[in-house]
Amino acid sequence: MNIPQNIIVRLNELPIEEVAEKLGLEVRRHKALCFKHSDHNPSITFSTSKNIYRCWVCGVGGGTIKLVQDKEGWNFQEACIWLGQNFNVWWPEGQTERNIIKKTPLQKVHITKHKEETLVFDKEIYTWIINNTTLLEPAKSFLYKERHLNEVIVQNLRIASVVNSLDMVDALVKRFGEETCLKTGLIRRSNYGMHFYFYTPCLLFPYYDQDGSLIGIQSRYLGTNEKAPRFQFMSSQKTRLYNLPILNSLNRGDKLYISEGITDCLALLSDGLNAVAIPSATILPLEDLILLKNYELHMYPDRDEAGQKAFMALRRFFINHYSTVRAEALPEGVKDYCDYYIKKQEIYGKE
Amino acid sequence: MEKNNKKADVKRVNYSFDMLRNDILTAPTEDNEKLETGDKYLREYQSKLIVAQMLSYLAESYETENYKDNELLRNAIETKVDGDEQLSGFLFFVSQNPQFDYSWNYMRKCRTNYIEFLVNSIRFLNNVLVDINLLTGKPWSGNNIHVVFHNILDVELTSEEPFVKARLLWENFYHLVTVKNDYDIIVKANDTLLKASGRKEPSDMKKLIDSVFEMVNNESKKITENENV
Repeated sequence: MNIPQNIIVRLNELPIEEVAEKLGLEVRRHKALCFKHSDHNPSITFSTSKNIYRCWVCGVGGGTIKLVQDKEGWNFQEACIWLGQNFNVWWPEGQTERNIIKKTPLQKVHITKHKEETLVFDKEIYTWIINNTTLLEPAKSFLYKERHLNEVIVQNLRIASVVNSLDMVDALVKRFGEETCLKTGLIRRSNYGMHFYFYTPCLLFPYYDQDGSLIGIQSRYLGTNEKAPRFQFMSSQKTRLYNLPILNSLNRGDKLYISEGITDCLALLSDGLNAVAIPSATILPLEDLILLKNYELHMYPDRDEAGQKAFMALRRFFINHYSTVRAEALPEGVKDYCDYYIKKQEIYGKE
Repeated sequence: MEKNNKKADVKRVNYSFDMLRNDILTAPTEDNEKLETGDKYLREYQSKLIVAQMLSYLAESYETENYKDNELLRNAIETKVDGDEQLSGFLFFVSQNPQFDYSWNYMRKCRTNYIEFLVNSIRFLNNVLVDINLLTGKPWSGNNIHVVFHNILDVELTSEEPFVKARLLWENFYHLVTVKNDYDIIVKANDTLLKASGRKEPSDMKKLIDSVFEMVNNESKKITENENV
């Protein structure tokens, strides 16, 4: 059976997120768990503007019909028939009018394959790292001279740094053994020997839950290697909110700021404001965010599109939970709160 | 002159669902203060806020040309609502109430009516957005013009971009349930009614705008002439 070209175009135009939901995928904020590999954090993202999907781990991707093919293991015709039946798109049998409508070119999906990893978050090792590292010179310079952050805040949050990765590898192997360290993913083996997971020199920001238990570490690279990622993350669970223990010192209705990323959070805290941070504009740890609904929530959205989107997603979330988050405007010419804080410090800080 | 107008049109930013949400979901802090006197009113207001937000996002996702056809839109919404297993669970749970005689019958009717409500609301919001963008095409500044859509949404025409400021009339929010294919539009200037009309097609809105614009301009001319005299 030939499927008319105009029908194929129409099937490919069906909203991909609705098709995904009909296939049994749980779509949340344009993301879903991948059906092709064992997935715990949603790796599939949907582009509603391009009407395509893509898994950033195993690489499957394409349009609406391709999604049905990939999910159900069907051929092209079977996928079209299923879509037609489920979304009320019908075509007369035997109708084979080809080339009536020029086929909409699908976006080509470029895929980078990543090796799947199952790592163990060993709290003992991570706690040892935080307890046995101090702030060394490049980190101090970054935090205090460049960012003008409050030293007490930095100390209370137990921010550490690693400058020499070889020393760190030696110390970890000596204390915990090679096998344990490799299992955590903190130390990796390559053709050149063993190396530390986090690019160094770097800052280490420990994430604690509300009870003060260590749940993750995020690094912030301070070197000059342009290929090194600026932020890396290791955690016991899916991504969490930064600075959750602050909730223990707040009362219902107290003012609390939500920032996009740790550096803005540190600037807000150094400015004397209560703050927690979402890890990035695109990651919303919903089960932690629900803990904030009884506070008076504010946010300084970054001036970029991602910042505005993050604010709108947060506002949507909190309205649905009988709360709200208010946007505060940054002055003209600053891109985020950290930038604003630095400028304020440079003008008034020395006085 | 015409060229300049064209240039201005190109620069004009279309009023979008994001802007509408910014207006209706953030402005209510003032309403909040008004409603603070009673917990019940505050709770109701917050529930309405959730519904307003849900409808705006839903309307936005069916804004495309594909769903201009009523039947296609209804099918899409029916697919969505019927496929919502959690909603089915909720309907079952509510139906287990002696008042409904432990019967699904009433709930089934409710679900059908709910689909109709969603379809009408989506169409209403999408049409209102089209109407607002027609309104912003005219230079209204200085006349304190308000356009009220179905007594639900009050749109003030302003002199600054995006040239409109929308406000939901929360006390009339229940009017949403009565929106069908057509809806009422009232145009006011300084609380004086200028024109009231029904709207079925975008052309109705264009006619309304032209007649009100002419009325406002004539009034301005008269005032200027009187001042000169």
